[in-house]
Amino acid sequence: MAEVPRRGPSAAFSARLLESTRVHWPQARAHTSLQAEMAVTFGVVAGAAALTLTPVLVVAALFVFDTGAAVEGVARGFVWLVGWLTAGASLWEVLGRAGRIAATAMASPAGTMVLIGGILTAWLALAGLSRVMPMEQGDV
Amino acid sequence: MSDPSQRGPRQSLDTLSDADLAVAARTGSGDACTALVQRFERPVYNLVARLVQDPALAEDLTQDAFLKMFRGLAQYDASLRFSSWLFRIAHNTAIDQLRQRRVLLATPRVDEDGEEMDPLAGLPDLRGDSPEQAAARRQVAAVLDRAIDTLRPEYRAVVVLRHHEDLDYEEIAEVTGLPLGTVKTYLHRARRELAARLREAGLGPETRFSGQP
Repeated sequence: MAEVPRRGPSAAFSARLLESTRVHWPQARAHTSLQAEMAVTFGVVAGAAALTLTPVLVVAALFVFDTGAAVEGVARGFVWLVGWLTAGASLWEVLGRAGRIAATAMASPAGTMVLIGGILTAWLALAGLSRVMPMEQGDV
Repeated sequence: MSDPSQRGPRQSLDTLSDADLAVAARTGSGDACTALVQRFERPVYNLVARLVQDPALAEDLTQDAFLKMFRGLAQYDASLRFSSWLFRIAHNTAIDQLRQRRVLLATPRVDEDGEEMDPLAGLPDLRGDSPEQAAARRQVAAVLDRAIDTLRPEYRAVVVLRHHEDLDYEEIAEVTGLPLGTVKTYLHRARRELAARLREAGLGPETRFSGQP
């Protein structure tokens, strides 16, 4: 059986095969290890989860440790809003006041940490996407 | 398994195992990709051409198989035999084409024990370096070449994988997606049919080749 001839392609096939498959050859990448990809994925998921859960945890903690203060804070916020609107304040004034409060919060150490966390998460997500996109394009 | 990416640049790719070459190709080595294509283009083409029996179509399907291989290279498990993985891709590509052309495929049935049977068993001993024996071997090979093409596609696949690519039964089962018993059955039937074709061509136990006593 060993002497039964093998089928062979045409003479030009080898060059044609190399040329036609070349566009699908894997591309060298700076960081291609599985560990690096896992780290990026974990970072994005952890950051997004932290940012999503932080406000919920803060509110939950307020209710757990000082329910009275939490309820009072929410109620005062509504009273303040209704009072302002009743007094004839425009929507822009309300938004401006809310913006100043938010800016003050961001300038605090806790707010700055949340802001940095958000920026890091966004950066990791973009870095991860930039690594995934070439492979997606290759499959099209 | 050693990490091929850690080897020196002067290390010849020809000395790398198939799996190491695939891993090197996966990390973006163009030379490894080229070596993979050059190492497997003829075996893959041989399998596909035997199955579809159309040289031009076989080239197109071989090209498709390599494209699929490169697209899926990131998912290749280097602990598995690379050739089996690639042959599986090529086999499935060819079988899909046969199904589109509605070529009759055999229904898997396991009703034979798949015992080893050599279609050449009844022939006189043709091993040897004499010109007569070499001519006799070529004559038998030519008959077998034509006879293989008359087999059903599944039989052709298992014969090529077993006798041309030296895959064992388990690897053939992995490539074709058939149960092990079915692979043995197909091989048994294929060999029986090949032996019958040889007898029909006048190549039997009583055959006397020129130069034979």
